[in-house]
Amino acid sequence: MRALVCREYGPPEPDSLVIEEMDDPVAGDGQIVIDVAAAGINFPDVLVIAGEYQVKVPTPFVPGNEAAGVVAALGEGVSRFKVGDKVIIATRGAAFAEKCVAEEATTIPLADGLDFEQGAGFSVTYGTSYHALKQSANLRPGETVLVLGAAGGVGVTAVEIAKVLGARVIAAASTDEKLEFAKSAGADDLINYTEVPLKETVRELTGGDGVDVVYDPVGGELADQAFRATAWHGRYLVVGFASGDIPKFAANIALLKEASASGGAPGPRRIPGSKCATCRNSQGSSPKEKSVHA
Amino acid sequence: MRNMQELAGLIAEGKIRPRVTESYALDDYVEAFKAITGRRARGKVILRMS
Repeated sequence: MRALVCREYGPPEPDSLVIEEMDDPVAGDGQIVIDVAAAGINFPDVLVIAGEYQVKVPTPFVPGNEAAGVVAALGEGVSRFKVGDKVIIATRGAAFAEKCVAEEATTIPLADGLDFEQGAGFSVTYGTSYHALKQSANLRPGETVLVLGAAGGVGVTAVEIAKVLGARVIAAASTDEKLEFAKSAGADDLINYTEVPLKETVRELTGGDGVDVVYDPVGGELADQAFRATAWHGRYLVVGFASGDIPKFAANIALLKEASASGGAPGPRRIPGSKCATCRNSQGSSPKEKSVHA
Repeated sequence: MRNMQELAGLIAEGKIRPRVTESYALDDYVEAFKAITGRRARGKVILRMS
């Protein structure tokens, strides 16, 4: 089969990233193999290929963490799927290939009404935004969210999820075209931060109060302004650094507003069972060491 | 996995809709990645395998 292979860390092009012929993968216990129709590219993929992500993958490897396609083979013990099923998979690598292995446990049917391309772009972005806004930030109806990078892959899903959760969404982006896109996804207010100052505009839009939550996949220079534009008990979600710069926060702002900054990890992801509140609640005092959460 | 199932429910209810604006064949992967690194991308960038 053909696959995209990162032979050495570098930019996402030859010679660091090239198409090669490889053996087809084989499904182990509890795994399936799919014929990949489409795979989703996410910003972290660029960092992984550059060897700059917080988790380094040894070269050579096949990047890509999400795809949609048709089940081609079943491993031992697989019960939820059969060959021919259309599915969405979330993986730890290997999705940028014509065939990919996935865990049955993290595979879901391709929802009615989604084509393969939409399915391929579902897991990482919606998984990240849903977990960050619903669980990390505990976004409640009537609250206000500032979404930076609101037209990007993960940003636009944050706009949608925030609306589903009943919040008011202020979308921030660098072009009017991107803002129109964010508006079509449900954003209530639009800020082109290349034309107006972010902090002051957010304050104006919120009657001086600031926003309850900031969803930030961009980082860089905007982060400080956005943090200063949070409200009392504001929650700042650190989702990514598409700008290329990891921001530092002024601790006095956290003090002044009793505000917090927390990480919204890219999901679906695994966390140790001992750290998982859901596992502790359902399994009592001895949760499984590794559980899969999305 | 509960999050993924709840999200699938939101799709079924039409409350969220994956937006794919850029889709590339595998052979055009260099262009696909440029859509992301150039920060032009709106919504998802997809690589088609077949």
